Amino acid sequence: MSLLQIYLANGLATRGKELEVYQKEISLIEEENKKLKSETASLGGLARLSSLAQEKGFIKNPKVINLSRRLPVALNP
Amino acid sequence: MNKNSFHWRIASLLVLFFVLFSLVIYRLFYWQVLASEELSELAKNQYYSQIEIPPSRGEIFASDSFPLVINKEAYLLYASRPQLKKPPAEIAKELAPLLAPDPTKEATDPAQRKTKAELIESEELSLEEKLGWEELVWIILKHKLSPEVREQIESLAIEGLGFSEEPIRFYPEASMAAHLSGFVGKNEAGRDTGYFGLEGFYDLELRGRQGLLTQETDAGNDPILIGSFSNQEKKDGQSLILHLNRSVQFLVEEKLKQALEKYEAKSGSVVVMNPQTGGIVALAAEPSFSQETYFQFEKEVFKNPVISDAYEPGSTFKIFVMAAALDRGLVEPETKCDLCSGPIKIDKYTIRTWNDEYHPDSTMREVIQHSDNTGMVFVAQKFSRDQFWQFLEDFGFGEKTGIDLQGEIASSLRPKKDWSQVDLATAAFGQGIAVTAIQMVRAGAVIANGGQLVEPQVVKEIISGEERIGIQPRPVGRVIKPATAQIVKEMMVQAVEKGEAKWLKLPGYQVAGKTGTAQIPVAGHYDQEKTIASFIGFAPADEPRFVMLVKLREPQSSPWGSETAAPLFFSIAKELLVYYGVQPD
Repeated sequence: MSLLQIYLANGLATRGKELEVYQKEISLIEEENKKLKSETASLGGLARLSSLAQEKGFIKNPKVINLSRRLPVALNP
Repeated sequence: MNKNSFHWRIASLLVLFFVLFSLVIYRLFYWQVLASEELSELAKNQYYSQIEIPPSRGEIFASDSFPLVINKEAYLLYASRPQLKKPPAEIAKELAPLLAPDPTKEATDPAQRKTKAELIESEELSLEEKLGWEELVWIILKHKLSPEVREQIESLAIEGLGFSEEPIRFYPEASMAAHLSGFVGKNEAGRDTGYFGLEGFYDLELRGRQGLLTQETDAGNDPILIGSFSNQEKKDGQSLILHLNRSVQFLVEEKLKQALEKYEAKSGSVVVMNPQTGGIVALAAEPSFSQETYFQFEKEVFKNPVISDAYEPGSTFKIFVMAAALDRGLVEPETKCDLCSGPIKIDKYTIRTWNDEYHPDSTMREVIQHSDNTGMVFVAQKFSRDQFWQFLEDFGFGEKTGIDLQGEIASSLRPKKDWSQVDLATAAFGQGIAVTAIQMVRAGAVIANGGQLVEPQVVKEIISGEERIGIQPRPVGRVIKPATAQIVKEMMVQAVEKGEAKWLKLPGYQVAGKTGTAQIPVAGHYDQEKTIASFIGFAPADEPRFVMLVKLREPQSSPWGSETAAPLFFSIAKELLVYYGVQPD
């Protein structure tokens, strides 16, 4: 039992390095996520989309046509 | 050697040993007791590593969950003096070109801008001075560096320099809703703090709490897994979801900028609110600023004029006085004005209509339609001073609306005892009384929603971890009866369809509204040239989707609200009705 304890304690004591590597990896991924989040957000900004639309030749529809709901042929049986 | 001399030498030796022993005891006492705390701290510093975990500041989202304010990675650059291998001057020379500010971001006025070379030189001097501070071990060299600059500095491989994470605010919609969001700056202690708008009002909620990780480490500073470990968890700031609709906000900002140019107005603002919930759908004010480079702007522009500026509302105020008079039974919609045949003299003042045209025996509906000042004097004379004061209190004038933005003022009313007959008469058509735009919108919502006073709210939900806390609408109470609200609504529709802004009406839609043109008081008198033009209204009149106030200060093309603020109101309203899918009749 004591031998097992010593073995485990020894193993744990030397795995700090591994933990450090994982911690670094986590923070790197978190940073990447933040970067992606701000990049996607800035691509979806309305000011940007509006100027892109203008560049592509889109214009605001000058006339809006409202379609009224058509009544069914027979309201009552 | 005699016996005495021997004893004396023994005694001397004993004393010497005693003194030496006492010194050892004293030294032990010093290390064990007096210096124990200091030593144990030193030992802890060797055994344990402490990592401060900064909380992530809460983010701000529009009603469609699109981010308006988020955090972007940025870094603090520091120098650890004992580890520096190069002289400060050399390090400063290498770093200065990378750390010198961009000349275009330094000053908005090109005439005041320094050249790139000048900025690099002053940066170099500043860095050299900082690196030369001998009393400091750890020196902050620069805040909020972008990842690109960090990479460039790392490629210089200067020993003794380090980085720590220091997120920066990022605005995906650029300067949209700047007056609403506010900005984050440094406080006196150098910590990030929110100023103005939501950042200021919700600073505590957004800020969060710093975490602290204490871990036993080995000689290589790697954590010992079986060693002691304590973790005071960081608490990220809470995020906010707003009532703000970014499409409406975008539209309103565009239209306001165009109107300011077209009517050559000094400044302007537009507020769009949901009359049922009090949710602020859009709020724009010009001149505005960029939250990211707030330090380039004059401090005056940070103030949100919608909540922080008091103004005389002019004729837009008439609808509320009329609503109060109708609700109290002081007049009926068909009551005829027997004072409306010409100018009215009260004390030494003469009150005229805006165009000096008079409509004898006008009904109350016509008084609103013609925006008749004499008709409103007739109404005001039906009020007692107490009744008028009570009406102002009921509609929330003279007190803060409670909107969740930093910097709201109450626009105090003149003490009740000081109100004379002239004051009552002029207040009835919106002169001699100061209000804020947000108070006016809230009062407009009372007519639109059938008589309830609501509290304006910017934030709809707060996100705390996995939890979403909805903020319920806060009705303050009933101010007028639904039947009264309906009558005033009809009067406002008539004012749009037959009044001075009738050329603007939207075919197929019933819009309720009222124009206003108020002279600006300057040093105790009214300036004849300067006006505040405004328009308040809601649409569609029967089931309002929005209540909106448009305000333009000192328009040059025309001083009248009907020719400046009203066209702006209708150009926004037209697009909003389409956006909301409201079908014309």
